[in-house]
Amino acid sequence: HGEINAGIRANDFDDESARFDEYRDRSDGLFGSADILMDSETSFLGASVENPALDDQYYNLRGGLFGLFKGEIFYDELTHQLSYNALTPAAGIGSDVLFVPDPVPPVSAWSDFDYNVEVKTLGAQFTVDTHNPFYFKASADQQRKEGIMPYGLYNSGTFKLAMPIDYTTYNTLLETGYRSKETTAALIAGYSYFDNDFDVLTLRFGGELEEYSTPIDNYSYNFSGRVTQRLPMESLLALKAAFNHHLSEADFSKYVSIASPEADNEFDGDVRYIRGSAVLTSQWDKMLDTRLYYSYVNRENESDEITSITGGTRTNHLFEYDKHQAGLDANYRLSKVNKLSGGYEFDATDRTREDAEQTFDNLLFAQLKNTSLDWMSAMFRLEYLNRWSDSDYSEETLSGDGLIHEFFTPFDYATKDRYRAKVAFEFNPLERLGLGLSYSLVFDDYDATQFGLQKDQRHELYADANMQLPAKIKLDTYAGYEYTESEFDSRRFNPGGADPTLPPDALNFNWSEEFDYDFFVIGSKVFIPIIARLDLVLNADYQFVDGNIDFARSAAAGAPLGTITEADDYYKTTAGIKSIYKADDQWSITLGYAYEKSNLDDWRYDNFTYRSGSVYLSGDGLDRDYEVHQVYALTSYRF
Amino acid sequence: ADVSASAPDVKMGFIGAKTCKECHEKQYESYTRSVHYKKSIKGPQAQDACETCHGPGAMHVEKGGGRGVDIFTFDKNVDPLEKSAKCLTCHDTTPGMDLWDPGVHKRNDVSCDSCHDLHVGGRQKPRDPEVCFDCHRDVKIDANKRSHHPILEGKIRCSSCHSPHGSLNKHMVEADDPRELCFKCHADKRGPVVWEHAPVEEDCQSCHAVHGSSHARLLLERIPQLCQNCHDWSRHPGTPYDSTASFTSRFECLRCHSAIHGSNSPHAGGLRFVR
Repeated sequence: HGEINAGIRANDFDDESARFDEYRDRSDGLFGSADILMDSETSFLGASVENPALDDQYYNLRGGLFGLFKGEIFYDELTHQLSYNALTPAAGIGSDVLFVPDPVPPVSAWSDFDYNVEVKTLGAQFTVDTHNPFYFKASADQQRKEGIMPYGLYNSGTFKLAMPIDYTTYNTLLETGYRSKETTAALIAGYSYFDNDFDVLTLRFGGELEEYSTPIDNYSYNFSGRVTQRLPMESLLALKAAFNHHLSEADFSKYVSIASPEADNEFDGDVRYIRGSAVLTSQWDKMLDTRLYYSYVNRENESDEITSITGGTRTNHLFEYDKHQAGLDANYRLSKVNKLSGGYEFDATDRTREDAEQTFDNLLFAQLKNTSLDWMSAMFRLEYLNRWSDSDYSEETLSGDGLIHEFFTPFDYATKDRYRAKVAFEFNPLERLGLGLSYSLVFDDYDATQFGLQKDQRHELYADANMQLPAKIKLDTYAGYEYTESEFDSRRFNPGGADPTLPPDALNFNWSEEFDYDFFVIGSKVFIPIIARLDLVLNADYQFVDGNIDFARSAAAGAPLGTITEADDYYKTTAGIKSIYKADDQWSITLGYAYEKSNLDDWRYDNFTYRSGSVYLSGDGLDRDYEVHQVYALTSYRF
Repeated sequence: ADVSASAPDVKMGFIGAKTCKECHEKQYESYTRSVHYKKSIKGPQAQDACETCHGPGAMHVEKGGGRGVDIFTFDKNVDPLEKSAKCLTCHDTTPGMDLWDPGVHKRNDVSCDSCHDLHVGGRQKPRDPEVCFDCHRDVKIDANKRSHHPILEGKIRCSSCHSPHGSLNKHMVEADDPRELCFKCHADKRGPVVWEHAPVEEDCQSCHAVHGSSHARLLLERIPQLCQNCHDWSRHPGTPYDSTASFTSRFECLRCHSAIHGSNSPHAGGLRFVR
């Protein structure tokens, strides 16, 4: 049995943008798909095709013998469209050597190009799973990425130029395992290799040559094993150990203008991760179950230490860390319809990092779920996180610009309290009516931070409904609203002015900002049987983002800072209507119309200019808006 | 009665699928199109058919039928542990099911039938991501945002990154660590590199909202706000970029610090990710 679809479509653009083609190819012309599955008592064979010959084409061939093996081969293309009609003064787009004349010619003489990356993945997987206790799995894929991405460069001016992408990644994975009712075991080995055809990006600006690094060729081995053992009290003990070894090589001899700091012209990257986990789950009785767990991660960095010669003398820091995580949670059935859950988790991280040497997390949660009404379930959850962090700075030795570290704390490691509350309901008052509603609040208080993030809060409200109305009309709808608000304090200073107690002036002052975003989305889909064999489907979705950033500083530092009222402001509308005529049980014809409009308003792009002073931009953020009308016809055959 | 006997009708209270079909023809038809109907797959279903999952039907028939009358059903109000136990009778040794007990789904009352529709012909695999979105509304909303992974476009499935049948990792991630998962598609970020950006080496989610974001590049916050949340220094890192900022200074940190995921340059500028 299966289904074959073939259609034709046409687009009419009121406004065209790469964003419309992001991840998909909706170009004019033919499109289609097929999905076929043949099976017998002992075997199956299936094939799928989606959008053949288009930039998002997908092919899959699968088959197997029941109780013996199954396998799959696939090919998938993904189109990553970033921006059409970007401009550049550089020659050599698509190569790893870019030439920009000095003086830079006027924008009218620049050439245009598109930022995009095509991803092509060819892969296969195979599983042998017979009726004996052992099984075997193997998978492999090759992923090719080709295209051009924006890349900012500084060289006697700032350039936004085209970084050539020519990556190939090979992944392979082998797994073998044993399973019985009491014991399971699995051994997994993987290898991955990443190859970048462009090792160095060179910019020739007039007679000057500068070189920039690109993603490094690298490979990775991983080995892991896990065991589970059933124990008394309906308990299960699961143990896992994993070793990941990442290696890389950078060939410094490929840099012409930069002196190599190493005699052998090489950097050898070598990072190892050792991970371990243990979990014990127990069903003490019908009322109580528990989970006790522990995990450990160690990052060991055996890479080369490099001290630069060009551009100053700097030595790379070899970042390492240890993480421990342990926790206990429990579910207790207070009654048949009430379930109480609670838990505690402790995390400790030790890093070789001055601004965040240690972090300790204590997380507590409690949750109550009630199903006392046949037509409703309710859940209420509370969570509290206390994070304590410590830096490795010695305040006595901080001086100059470094004095700011005494006052500034990075947000993701900062000491804080986090409060989270969530309430959720599921309603099924009628057999053909389902409603869902949830609200959550997250509040972070960084009360130990002088400069850095001070507070942030997030409200999330989601609802959805699906129902069958009279005359077999079906309605699916959803809506969401999110509000985020953050408060941030910082200090702007020139060298020597890090001390926040210094009197403010135009170049040295403390300042604060509050940023908030409203996000709203709503969507519906209605299925309406018009007459026998003729159905109508309507859909509409709308979302918007409204972002604002308010700033404040002392009057002694200068005029008030200006509020940004267009911070990633965005809206998108999609709508469609289609009629489906079922000629018989096998054939159907669909005629449809679809509409999409997307618009981004951001202060950053107001009065955009490609060239300003010694800044030369490509306009990669400009190509955001589109408005498209599409008509299509599709015929489907089911068998 | 001899429960080991091969004929279904001699087992205690078992009535055979043909009897079930008399009232439940639609369900029976869908069952015959399913993998469970394949006689080559060893297991009790080859013998007991409907009653493998629903239990013996004699009393149900005797009482004249009715939803849940002396028969096991997979209705919403039935204990999820009991429902899953039916499936796990056979599937507890299916590869990948060994971590069902420690998994988040089991512990949150998700049963097999929450995702798998057993009476759909041919395939029992859930519709991914639609089935996941039924519960994970926040993820559905994120996947709809301006910047997102190609989940709605069908190029990434939830199960591409998560193990719905259980895992020892947080969020049931399908890898030894969330970063290792990202490297499956983004091996260019794997390194090891000469000049490391510490948060990159610890957690991609320090900067990225993995399912989707209202900000470009799936970032948690727009730039420069995101960068300034961690960086202050003399001159531009600590400068407020407000609406009065000049055009040339509006543009984001990545205009110069392009190698933000780590640099391999022998030049000292690699330390600041500008090379």
